[in-house]
Amino acid sequence: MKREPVTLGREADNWLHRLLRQRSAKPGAAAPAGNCLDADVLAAWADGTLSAKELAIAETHVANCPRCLTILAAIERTVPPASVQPQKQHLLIRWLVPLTVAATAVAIWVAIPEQQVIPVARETAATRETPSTSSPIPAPSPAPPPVAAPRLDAKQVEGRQEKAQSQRAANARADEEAATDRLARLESALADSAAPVSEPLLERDRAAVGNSAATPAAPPAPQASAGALSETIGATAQRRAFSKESVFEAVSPTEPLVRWRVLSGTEIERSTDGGKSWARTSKPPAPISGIRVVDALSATVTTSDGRSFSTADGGATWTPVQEKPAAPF
Amino acid sequence: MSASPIQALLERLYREAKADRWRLPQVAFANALESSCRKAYPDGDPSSRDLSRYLSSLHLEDLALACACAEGHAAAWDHFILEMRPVLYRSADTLDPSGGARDLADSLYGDLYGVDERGAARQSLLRYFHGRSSLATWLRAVLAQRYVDRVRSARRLDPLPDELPEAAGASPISDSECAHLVDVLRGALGGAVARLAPRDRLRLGCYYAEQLTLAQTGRLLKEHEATVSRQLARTRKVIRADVERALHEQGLTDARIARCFECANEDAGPMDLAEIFVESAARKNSSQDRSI
Repeated sequence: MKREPVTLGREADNWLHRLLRQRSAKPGAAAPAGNCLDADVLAAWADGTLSAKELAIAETHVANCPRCLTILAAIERTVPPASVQPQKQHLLIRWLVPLTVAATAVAIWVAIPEQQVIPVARETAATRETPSTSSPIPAPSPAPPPVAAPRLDAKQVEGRQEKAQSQRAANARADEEAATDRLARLESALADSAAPVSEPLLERDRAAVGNSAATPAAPPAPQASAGALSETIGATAQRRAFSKESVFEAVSPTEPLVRWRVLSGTEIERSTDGGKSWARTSKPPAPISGIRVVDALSATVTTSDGRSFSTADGGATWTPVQEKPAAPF
Repeated sequence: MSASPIQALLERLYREAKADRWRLPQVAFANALESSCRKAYPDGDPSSRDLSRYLSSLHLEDLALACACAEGHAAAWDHFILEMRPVLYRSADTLDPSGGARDLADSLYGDLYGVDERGAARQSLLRYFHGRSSLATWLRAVLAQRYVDRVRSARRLDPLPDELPEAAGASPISDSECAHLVDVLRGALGGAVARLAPRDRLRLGCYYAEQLTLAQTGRLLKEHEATVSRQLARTRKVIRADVERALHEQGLTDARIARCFECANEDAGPMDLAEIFVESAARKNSSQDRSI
């Protein structure tokens, strides 16, 4: 019958550990086991160049020979620090790599959820288009800096996600109409104007119409993942160019039928029926380079000289916005 | 093998060893290689593949330097002193921080140079270097051998503990019952250590008897220090079970065994693991001892 050990648990292991540690600091004076290892073999062991067979024989001898064990330990103690350093560096790297990965993962975790819980205003298919290289309109000015998003609790997140889902269906319909409208305008512009219009641009708009018709309620494609980082509470408009005019258009994140657009960088129009009808508003005192929409009454525009103006009355009046330091995220 | 491939191999090794910078005769270098091979394969002729692999694994530059020093080339000797003196002194200071090993390092130079007072042929210690390790490691090994032998011989001349005036009549364990139990435990522990596998005993000896760190023990045994720690814990468990079994076989009750451990825990004065290792080594069958 197998006996239960008398000493149990950690304490049982500790007594032996303590017992084994209590020893004389002096090397043993007992006689060696005979035929001790010579310096050549001991050094080869220390350098790791013994063959497996030789090592097994050497281990058997040293396990029984206090002299060789002491010599081997002495050789190991005299290893120059430079020989040990690479292993330490290796250990350091071995820790650094997972630490760096973990830090990156945490940073992404912190950044991404904020983006995901916020219903990002979908840009229309046309506003996602980048200007063609053959376009006479210069490259777009940078979008306004992203606004720091507040942290939301689970209920808020759930509510907003449901709301965003219902908005996506409405947006898809509106997108289809808008793309159709733009396609018609593009084709008429192409017919009227001598200025060249890029064929890929037309193709993309045609594709947008086709895709929208095929999948009316399809979720927004993760096309602009980098751009998604710049999309925050307000929809950020991007400049798009046609043959003779430039249009900035932005959709309200909370009211999908509410749209604002800037024509030729000066005129601002507002629509509350998904772009079917547009009403012109008053103008800020400088050319406009970007627009952010909150709802039907509130929006903020950035002018080409770097200033911002906001309205809370549907564009009747524009008041300058005081610059605030950018939030860390 | 025909003579031509051997000659080609020798020339290649000679070039790799950069032996010509010491103006070392090719014959002398070939003799050193032959000596190294003869020691590595004492039982017979290795295959040409094994031989080629072995020769390629040697520290050829160090072997050429040692060979040139043994031959008495002044430039090689100057280089040796320049490169190896710091290694020797640093090792000596590590072995004995009080500086007691420095004289050993200094005296080693005479043997390495092979000075013969009678003016006969030089008998340099470097002839025993066969290139299986780096020259620096070999020198550290030679120094460690000499240092350990000196300490061991000095310890043999030390008075025994019972001859020490302060030790006379003062038993580390006052309770006679406890002293007896510790003796019994000591015997059981020695037996348990003797029954361990050589590698386990070696690991235990490195860590406890020689007090190397886990990292140092791991480097010697080519194990990660976490593995060393885990294996030590496993070995302690095996020893404990073996000790308890041995004590039970000697008729000790569970209560007496527990008392054994208490006594050892309170004061294990005569428990010297180094001695236990010596005893356990003596218990092993000496016919199993082999050397290489």
